[in-house]
Amino acid sequence: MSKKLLAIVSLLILASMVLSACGPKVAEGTVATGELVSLRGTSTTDIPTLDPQLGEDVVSINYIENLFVHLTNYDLVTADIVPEAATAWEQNEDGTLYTFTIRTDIPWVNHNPETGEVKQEVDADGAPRFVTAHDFVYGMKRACNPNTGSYYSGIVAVVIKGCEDVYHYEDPENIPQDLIDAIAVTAPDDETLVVELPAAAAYFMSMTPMWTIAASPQWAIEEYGEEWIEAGNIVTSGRYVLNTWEHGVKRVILRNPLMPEDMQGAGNIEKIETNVVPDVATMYALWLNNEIEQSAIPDGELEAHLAAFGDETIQVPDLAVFYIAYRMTKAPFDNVHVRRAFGAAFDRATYVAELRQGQGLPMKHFAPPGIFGAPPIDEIGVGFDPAYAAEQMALAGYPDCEGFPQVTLLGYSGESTLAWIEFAQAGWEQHLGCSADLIQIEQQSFADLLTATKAEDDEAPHMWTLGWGPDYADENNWVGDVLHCTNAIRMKRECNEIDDLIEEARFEGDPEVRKELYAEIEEAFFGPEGEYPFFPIFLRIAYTAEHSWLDKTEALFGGQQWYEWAIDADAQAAATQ
Amino acid sequence: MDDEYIDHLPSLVISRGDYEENITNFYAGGFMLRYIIRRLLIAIPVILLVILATFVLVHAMPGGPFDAVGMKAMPEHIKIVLERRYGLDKPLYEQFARYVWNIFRGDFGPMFRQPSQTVRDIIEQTFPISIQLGLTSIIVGFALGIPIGIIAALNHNSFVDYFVTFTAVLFRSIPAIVMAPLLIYIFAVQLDWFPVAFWGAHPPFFLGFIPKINAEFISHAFLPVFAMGTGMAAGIARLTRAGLLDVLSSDYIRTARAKGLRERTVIVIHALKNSLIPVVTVLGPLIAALITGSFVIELMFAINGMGRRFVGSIGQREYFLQTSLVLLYGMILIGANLMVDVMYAWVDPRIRYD
Repeated sequence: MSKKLLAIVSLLILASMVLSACGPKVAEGTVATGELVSLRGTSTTDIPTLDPQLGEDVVSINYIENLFVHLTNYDLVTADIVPEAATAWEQNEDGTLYTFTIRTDIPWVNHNPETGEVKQEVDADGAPRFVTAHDFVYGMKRACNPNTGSYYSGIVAVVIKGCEDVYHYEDPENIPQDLIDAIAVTAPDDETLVVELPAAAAYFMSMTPMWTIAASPQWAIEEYGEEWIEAGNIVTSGRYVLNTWEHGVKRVILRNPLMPEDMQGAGNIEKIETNVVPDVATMYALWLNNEIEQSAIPDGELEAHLAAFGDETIQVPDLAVFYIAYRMTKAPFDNVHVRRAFGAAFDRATYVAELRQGQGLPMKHFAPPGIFGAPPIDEIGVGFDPAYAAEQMALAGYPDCEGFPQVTLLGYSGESTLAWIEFAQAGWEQHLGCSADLIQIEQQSFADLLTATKAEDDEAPHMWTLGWGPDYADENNWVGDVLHCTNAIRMKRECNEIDDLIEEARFEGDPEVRKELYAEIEEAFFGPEGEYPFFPIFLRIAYTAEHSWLDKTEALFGGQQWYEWAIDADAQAAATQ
Repeated sequence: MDDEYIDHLPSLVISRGDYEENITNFYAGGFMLRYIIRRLLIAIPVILLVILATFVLVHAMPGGPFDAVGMKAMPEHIKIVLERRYGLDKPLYEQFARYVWNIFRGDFGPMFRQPSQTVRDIIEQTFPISIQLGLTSIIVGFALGIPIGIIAALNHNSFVDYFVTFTAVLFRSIPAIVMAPLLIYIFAVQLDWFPVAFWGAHPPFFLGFIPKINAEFISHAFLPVFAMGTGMAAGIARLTRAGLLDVLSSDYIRTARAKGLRERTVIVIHALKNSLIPVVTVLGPLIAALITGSFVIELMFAINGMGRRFVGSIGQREYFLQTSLVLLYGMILIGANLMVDVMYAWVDPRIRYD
């Protein structure tokens, strides 16, 4: 080879070495080992899924919150929407187009449980993968697809243009690709996500922290199918990585060393180990033994616990409101006076204080405090008012329950529900004069209750117990998604002017006007002249035993943000010795 | 054997020569093998009937696996999509045929609520644990129960007998759901002698189910095995005691004693085997029940066994898991009863299977 050629080749080799060193770096790291600041917990069940688009239960949603970044998040204290993957957003004038700016420095990572190595994912060309707007497009379109089989697909389908066409497509196994492509979620570039709504929906931003529309790793899902969520396979983008998942036994997540520093959260917890403990008594025994940080308290132990560990007890509302609903087309509950009377004859405060041992908040209207648009707790609703109840019964033509027919109250299975419906039965006897044999109480499994309450009038029960927990932090998820005539199919509510108000509030852009509208709606349902499709009874609050070395703020929406929690490791170690 | 002794044996008791001949013929003459094969062949239609009955019953339960999500009803068309995915929209006979065909291919079906898992995964995870818990409890139960029953029988109507009987009744009467939390509270929480919960063995296991017997295993196994084993020991003790008392009053035992044989020889060589027939009788169902999981013990000690999963599958309408676990239980029960029948022949050679 001539000297000239040799020089050229050498230069080329040198240049390639220099250029490759300048290219994008694939990040690698190792999870922390040794004595880690650990949150030790228990769960009554295994995790059903870690797939963001499939998560439907609290356990799954908690893990998805910590393993994947979402578009936005909730502030733990104010419940305001705060940036997460989206650093900024704006909407057009008529509120139908939202443009999000996505940060592109959050790596997709895979953790090797055996070596402890966390490696950034790379694409086919070897370029490192970061979360981009395209990943959100994929996640949102996947959420619209009915074949995903997720309950929450229906929640998001109504707010994304084109999503409902896919979601309700008549032949789900053969959805045309152009229909999927027409879903109005686009990414003009890696940093820009554009979402078009079918109509202005003021509650849309409240839905953006939802796990259902989080970014998902398309390549991993296509490679591993349903097993993409297993340890070793799973590709994540959050503050933690999945280290161990022993099905039915335990799971361990560890801090992701490759997460951008400003997103790591204020907490110091490096490891979260959760064992499956189905029995609350055993869970509580572990807590007494200082082996876990938090525990539910068995009902029989509550009094003793509060006496002994009052300072290590917190009250946690889960924002679920429980009610007794009516079949509004079935006599005698087709009469609004009867519905009002039964609602006003239930002593909520006594029920919560005595039968629930104080674990609840009496509710006079539907949406609880903390939900955008919910009126102040004592301002709207009749609640317990025996005089009003008696008056309403008289107006209905059943003074002191004379001539009242036999009716059924169906509760789902469980001892606490039995106590609830027996309390209702006794209260109606006491305050309305309706003897117990007029109120036939029954219990069925929850699934059977759902079936029974959809039956025709002659077979359906007159009343039944149910509850509702929030999907997102907006009144539309309460009065809209539960009570709008198109949704209140069990109660067979007919459409009227209240539904017009619900729709108006749904699309109103001014938050203050929305609040006024929702106050009007709650009054229309539960005020003295209310329609009463059901009557709310209590907001569920549970006492939780919690050791003093754990410092945290509970998330009321979305999943628990464990990356914001802190543990006094010295105090924990001292107690565990 | 002394001819004079033989002359005094009760007529039902065969001679040693006859005994040896029977045993030899029985085992080496192929009778037992033919018997076992016959029983296994009969088991096939029995198992199919078990699958059919379970299949019909689980589908007869109202409601389905996709009716609700927490407290919310699943949208109807999503329910349809999911039912179609798992073949639940097909006619029942077609679902049944497909299930049986898949069983022969080793495919026990999917899990509805945990899509990344199959029923086979669940069985592989939980069955070894249940076997470990069950077998350990059986060993403890027999190791305690038989000697205690012998002691009680040999000290019939004495303080020892009354004490043993009282203790047996006590432990037999305390249900596991009461015993387990008591044990946890006293020995784990208060005394800190044992762990509160969990199982101390992790896969891989030797031969698929034998754990490493180390300190971790023993410390975790002690309380749940105690809770299960003591109740069983109590029952076995009472059966052993009753059986031995019955046998000890037999003429041949009186004769053996009259011949001057040592008491230990009389009890161990002549009396014990016959007295164990009632114990052997319960062994089959006991093995089947215990190694397929004790729901209460697994629940209270947070042990990932089959019993807990089986009960959970009912409420969740996990049809494939329910049917497969019942199938497994049925096969184990058939196997265990067959083993018991074989043991009968060993215990009492008068029993013939031909």
